[in-house]
Amino acid sequence: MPGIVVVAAAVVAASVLVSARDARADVAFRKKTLAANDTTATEASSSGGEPGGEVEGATDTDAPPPPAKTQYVPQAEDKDKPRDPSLLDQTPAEGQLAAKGKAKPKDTGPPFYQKWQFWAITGGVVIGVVGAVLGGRALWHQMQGGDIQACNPMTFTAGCYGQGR
Amino acid sequence: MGLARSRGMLAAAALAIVCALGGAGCNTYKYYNIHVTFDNAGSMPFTTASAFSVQSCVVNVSGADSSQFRLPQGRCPNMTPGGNVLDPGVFEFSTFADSGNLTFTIDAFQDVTETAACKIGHGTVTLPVSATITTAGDLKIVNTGTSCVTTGNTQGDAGLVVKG
Repeated sequence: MPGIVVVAAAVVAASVLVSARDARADVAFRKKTLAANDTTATEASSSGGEPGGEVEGATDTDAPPPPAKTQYVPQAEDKDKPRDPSLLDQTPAEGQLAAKGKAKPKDTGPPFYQKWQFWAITGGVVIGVVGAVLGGRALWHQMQGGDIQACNPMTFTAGCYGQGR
Repeated sequence: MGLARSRGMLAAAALAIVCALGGAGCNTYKYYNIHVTFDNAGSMPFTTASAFSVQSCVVNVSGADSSQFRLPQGRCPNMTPGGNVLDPGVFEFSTFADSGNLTFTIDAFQDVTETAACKIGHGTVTLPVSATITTAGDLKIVNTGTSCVTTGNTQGDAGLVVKG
């Protein structure tokens, strides 16, 4: 009689174990199907492998599916060189601070005509213009033959003719 | 401003150098000193009387330059006191020509209207135009034998125009 009880207990235990294994297999199958139909899945998402981790503690076959992944970063995006115009147009805060720091203070000195640099430049320009005009006239005169030699009536008793006469 | 002025000065200096080297666009006076004489040699030499019959001497310049002018009254022939009648003297012709030849032609007329029938003398000389500034030449008026006036052997006959 005790032997029968022991055998019966073993049979019951074995049946319980078999039933539990069937339940895990059912959960794993449904989880894999859900992952295959999920349109939000990415390449980085796992689509296979051992389902043991997720189903290890699952004992209820009606367990809710994992929440959909709403925030992700594409693997090909280069964060160092953004192409988003909103990011490109923005001036870094450091640059703005530097620009503010470089802004020259308003000149509160004497007017420009009271500075020696103004008169030095003005004098140089005037001298340069006068020199250029005089030099240009002299150059043009030389280009036109310069001064013709004087007609000496004692030498050229019959007169002087031609260009410049 | 400074850069533009510097460029202008450089351009002017370059132009001056080019002109100094005789480049195009720059003028240089050339002088031709032509000594005019009446030819008193040859088959029909000019005499004092025939030279005194000349009323006008016209010079034409052709070739590298062109011009026309008359020698002043009293110079062709030379009527200065004590002067040589057959030696009108020297005239100077200035030109900007830098190549080629200059041809000076002189015609001596016995009337002031310079008709062909009264052309008593003719002369020509051709001189090259070179880098030489001053060139001298001789222009002889050769008697052509044509005369529209009666010339005598005395000075008093010169200048008389007898027509008709």
